[in-house]
Amino acid sequence: MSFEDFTTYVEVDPNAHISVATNVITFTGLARNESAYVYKDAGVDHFNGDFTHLIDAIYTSVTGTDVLGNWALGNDIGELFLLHSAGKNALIVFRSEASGVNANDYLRENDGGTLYTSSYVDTLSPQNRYYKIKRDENVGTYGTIYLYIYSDAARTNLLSTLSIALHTSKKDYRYIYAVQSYNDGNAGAGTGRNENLDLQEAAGTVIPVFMNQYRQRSA
Amino acid sequence: MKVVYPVTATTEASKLSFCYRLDGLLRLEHNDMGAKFMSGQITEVEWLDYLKNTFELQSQAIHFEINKNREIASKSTYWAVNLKTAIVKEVEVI
Repeated sequence: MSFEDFTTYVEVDPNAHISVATNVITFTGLARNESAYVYKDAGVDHFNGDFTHLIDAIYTSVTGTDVLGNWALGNDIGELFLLHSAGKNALIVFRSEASGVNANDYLRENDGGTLYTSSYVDTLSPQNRYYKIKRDENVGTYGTIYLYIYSDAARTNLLSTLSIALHTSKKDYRYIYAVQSYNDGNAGAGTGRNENLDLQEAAGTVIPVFMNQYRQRSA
Repeated sequence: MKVVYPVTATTEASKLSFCYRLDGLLRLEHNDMGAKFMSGQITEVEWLDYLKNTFELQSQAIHFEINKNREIASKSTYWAVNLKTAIVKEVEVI
């Protein structure tokens, strides 16, 4: 198990709402009327085939209705609204939280501009989420992506499983995002942090997942 | 693994509801096993084996059927749907 070093990622943050440390990205008042994001160029087609990624998404406060990207793979550089646009391909995990009202988690595929979405709706915001994102290209014609949503860092308490049977082709991706604003001009904003992104690329399989759970249990 | 439907589940709607119930029960079983792991009632080997050889395989089978029937339902003309009147704004959805 090894967490991504976010200090090696590219930070685009014109309003200084993001702070990057080794394993933690903190966002403060990151709003829906700005374009800010943190990403890594992993190389052309780096994210191919099957993968399992882990990331912790901690929300501490929300103003209005916020939308925030927690994880994404794409072949374009930009904020989350851009990845939703026509002609783009992307896999996205994002949240929409309305202060004190609801906290929604979304798994989305943008297949050349056609959006496919699976969602989980919970009550009361803010909520902390611990995600496991898995793509298995052997399930379905073009593979299937799963989002396992947990309430605990050890990932033993599952809230919901979302999935999308992927469309039109098996796709590879170059860029990974660890936080993205959703710039649709709205004034909603969120404060929190995304942390402990584990791409599980060094050791592979499920063992690192378990080791993380074991570490959490022993803490 | 594959989902075995009851003979009365003949439509995509009934198959979907059956699968979502399966998904709900699997989630509860997962969390029960997770609680046992966290409290030390089962070993790490047992927890890992459950995740790999039971939970993930069953989850895949269930969601394969959910996605298949959701696709069928999304194209079904069973309901005479009027998009302008069938949805009203309640909370923001993007």
